[in-house]
Amino acid sequence: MAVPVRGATSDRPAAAGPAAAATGATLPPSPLPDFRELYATHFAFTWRSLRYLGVRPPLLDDAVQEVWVAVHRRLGAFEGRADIKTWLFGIALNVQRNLYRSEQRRSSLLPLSEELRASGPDPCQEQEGREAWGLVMRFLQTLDEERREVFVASLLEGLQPAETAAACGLDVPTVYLRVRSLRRGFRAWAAAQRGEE
Amino acid sequence: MSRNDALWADRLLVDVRTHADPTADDTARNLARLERRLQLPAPDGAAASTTGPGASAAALLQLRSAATPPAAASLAAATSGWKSAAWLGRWLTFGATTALLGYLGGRAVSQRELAELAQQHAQTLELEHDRQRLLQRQLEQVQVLAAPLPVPPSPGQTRAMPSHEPEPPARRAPRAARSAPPAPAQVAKPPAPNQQLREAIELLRRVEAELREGDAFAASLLLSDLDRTVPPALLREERLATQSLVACALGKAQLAREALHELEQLNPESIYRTRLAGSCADKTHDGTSKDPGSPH
Repeated sequence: MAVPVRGATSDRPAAAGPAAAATGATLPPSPLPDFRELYATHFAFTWRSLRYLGVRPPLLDDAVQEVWVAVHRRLGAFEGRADIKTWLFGIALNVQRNLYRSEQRRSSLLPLSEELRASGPDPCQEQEGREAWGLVMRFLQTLDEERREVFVASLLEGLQPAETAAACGLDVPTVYLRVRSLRRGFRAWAAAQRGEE
Repeated sequence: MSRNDALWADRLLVDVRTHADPTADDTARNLARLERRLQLPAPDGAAASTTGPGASAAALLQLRSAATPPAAASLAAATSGWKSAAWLGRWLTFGATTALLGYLGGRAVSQRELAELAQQHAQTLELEHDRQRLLQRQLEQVQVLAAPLPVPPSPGQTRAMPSHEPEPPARRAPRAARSAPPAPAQVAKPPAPNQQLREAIELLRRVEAELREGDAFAASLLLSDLDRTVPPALLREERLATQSLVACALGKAQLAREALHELEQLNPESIYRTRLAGSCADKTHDGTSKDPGSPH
């Protein structure tokens, strides 16, 4: 996602108070989000997005670092025209694409696989999550890159159609059609998997 | 697919998040790395720490909570009565607020449902428009391929104008002539067999194009259109072969095998049999490939 960079920014840029507005001056720009608050709120979103997009676990830390370094670098130029999650998803997409291209060049790309995670406090929920993960990732492997991105953005992360369109570089009607097709296709595919078990 | 299957599939999209979420260690570890790499200043009110993820996690926690000094315990004991009253008051306020939020939320949910219905309706309309445009394009292509119609005589021309020869029989489509039933004359404008054949060929081409592009679901929709618009016997082998490929792409191995079986029953020497060699329909349940010459 192309965001003009005006240079290095501090952790929290100065924000004008309400007194300036009360005096009749032009409205100050809305204060930029604090980086730490942004991280605390949206780190899980970027982590999940990268996993859904197929970044392998050994590379996940590096990939998410690249995302948040880019966020820190571009935060001062974030103009607030797009939703923050749209912006973050766009950055995660670019990082994943760059990573995929470099992996292809090194010919070390491995197929997506289910990895074992430490069990959480609820083993039953963890098991359901693992099964859902396996099914969803297998379905994602049947999709091409564009549909996979739309599936992740819209059906897994719940971005609105306009946000998905902005993040994936599509127009909104195409997103509507893709989402509808993907939802029905996933339901049919999952039902078929269930019927064959 | 039953409604339960659809609900179960939708539930998968929610359950997957429990496996995809980062752990607290993941979050803290990456924050520590960022702090070192970007040399982030310490957060307000918390001690700066660069000694590891645990210290960074502690710094984050300090933003949200404050330790109660031991001396406050005696003060808390002395004010237990006031605290009980405050606790009761909080619960009463919580109950009233919950009731109000529930009322407002119900209204909001119904409004949200209306918005979602409107959105789904818009999506349905958009899909229907696309279907209409697809059908229109197909009709235009068929019109281009169809035999030219007789040119009506312009006003003033004599009756001696030579008439055009009648439309030739459908010799270019012998299979269609054998399999398609003759259209009764009393039916209003039935589609000509060669027109149906061209439509079927065009739809099959589009199905293959969608498969090449990786959109198996769109391919299955086009196959449904084909089944709806042309007789079942028209291009039966081609349709069974395509149906099997689409089913494989959708992960429906059983349906793919059934289509392949019907193809082999229809024509054991079908040239499309080799097209399906190695596909999911060609594999037995244990994953080994079937010998094309072996009986079922």
